[in-house]
Amino acid sequence: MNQHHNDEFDDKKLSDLYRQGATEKPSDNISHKILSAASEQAKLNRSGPNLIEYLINMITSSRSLAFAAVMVIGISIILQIQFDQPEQIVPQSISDSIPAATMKPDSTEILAEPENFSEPMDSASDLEKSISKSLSPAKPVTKADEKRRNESDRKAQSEAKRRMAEENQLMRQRSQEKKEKRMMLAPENAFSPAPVISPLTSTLNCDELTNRACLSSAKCTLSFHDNNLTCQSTVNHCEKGFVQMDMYKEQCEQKTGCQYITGHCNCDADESCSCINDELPSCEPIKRAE
Amino acid sequence: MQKTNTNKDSQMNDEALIAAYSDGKQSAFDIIYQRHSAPLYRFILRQCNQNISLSEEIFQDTWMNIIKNSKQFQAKSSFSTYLYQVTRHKIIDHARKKISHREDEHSNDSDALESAKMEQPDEKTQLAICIELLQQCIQKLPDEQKEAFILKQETEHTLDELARITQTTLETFKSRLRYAMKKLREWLPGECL
Repeated sequence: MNQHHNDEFDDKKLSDLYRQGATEKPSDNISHKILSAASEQAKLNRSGPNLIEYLINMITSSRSLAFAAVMVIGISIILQIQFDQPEQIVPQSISDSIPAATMKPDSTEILAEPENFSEPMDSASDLEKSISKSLSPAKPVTKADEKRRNESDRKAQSEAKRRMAEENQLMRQRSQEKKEKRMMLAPENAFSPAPVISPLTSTLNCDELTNRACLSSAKCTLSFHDNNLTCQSTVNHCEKGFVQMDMYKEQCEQKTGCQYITGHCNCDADESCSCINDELPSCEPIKRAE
Repeated sequence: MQKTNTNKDSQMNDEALIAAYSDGKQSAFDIIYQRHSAPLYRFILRQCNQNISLSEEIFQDTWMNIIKNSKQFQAKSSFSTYLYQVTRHKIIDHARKKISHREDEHSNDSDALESAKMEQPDEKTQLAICIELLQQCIQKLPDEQKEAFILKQETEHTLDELARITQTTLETFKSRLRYAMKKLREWLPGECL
């Protein structure tokens, strides 16, 4: 059917007539031009493409190599600057006498208390300026001038050392205070549900603990007395070993005759706590009906 | 169209030849050119209303394109299909305006046709007259029908391939070809067919 259908397009007489008249050919001139161009291209195809491909590959790979090199050098420079900065601030002669903690504070302390280091750094910067000023080369001077200048340099250096030592001492004190505070806050910040009793807290009496520390203490109980929050030693077996937090509800109720009293307190960073309806989470003996 | 050649290369198909040429084998191109140059030239010439200078320009441009992009040719379709597709685009790009000028010159086609019919048989043989009349009738066909008829006559492509070359559906191509042949049979005198 399809063959028959296509036969209608094969008109033999018409085709024969057309082919007898189809004698035109491209001129020799144009054929020569085309074949010459083809010959030229064939030569290029034999040798050129490999070279071109090689060059393209070279350019592509060298471009990416150059980019990688720039990135590596850039990052190296940034890191180098960051690591070298503290040592560059203070002249070598002074840095030798400064404790390492001042020059390169450990990273955890930087994260926890950045304000601690801003002052020493500023001081160091000021110090550097003063030292640079005093050490800066002067115009040609007499021996007496030189002697005076050396003397003032020595004074400036010793003053700088003294100031740096003071700053360092102050900074260490602050750091110690912050560490102590962090230890007191540890139960709230810790992810572990187990009560974390810091060595410092464990040695303190209940009435010496902050409200927040009292809540997390297993030895002490925070409660309301005369509209005030007071921290007292545990008074019964229910309170003993109980940490006043919701997450310890089950621990409370596992003890025979004890019930958990729900309460919600918010303790600020400054250790003061406020409790909703003056109710504190607590573990109390079940009151039997009289 | 294809000359019998004892040369082994001449037995290769177009796709293998163009691949060989892209690897630098000049003789492969010579065979391709020998196979396709004449029908391709006539296809262009008919499409350009027998304008020789324009046809040569397009013919050369087409082959230069093939030469330059021989490495890019991928045997997804036959080389011949590719060749005629390139040519067709060249004609569309380069020749439409020039053809329209040429059409003005042929505004009196019917007169020319009549004069050809009226020529005395003793001046030209009957066959020569019929051939000339056919060429004139082909030029009178609408462009799309003319293209369909010439492609069918000059190439050995199937109707599917011809539809692909002309970027149309098979049915549309058949329709164009059918109309072209019908008109040519009507226009040509009975003694020519």
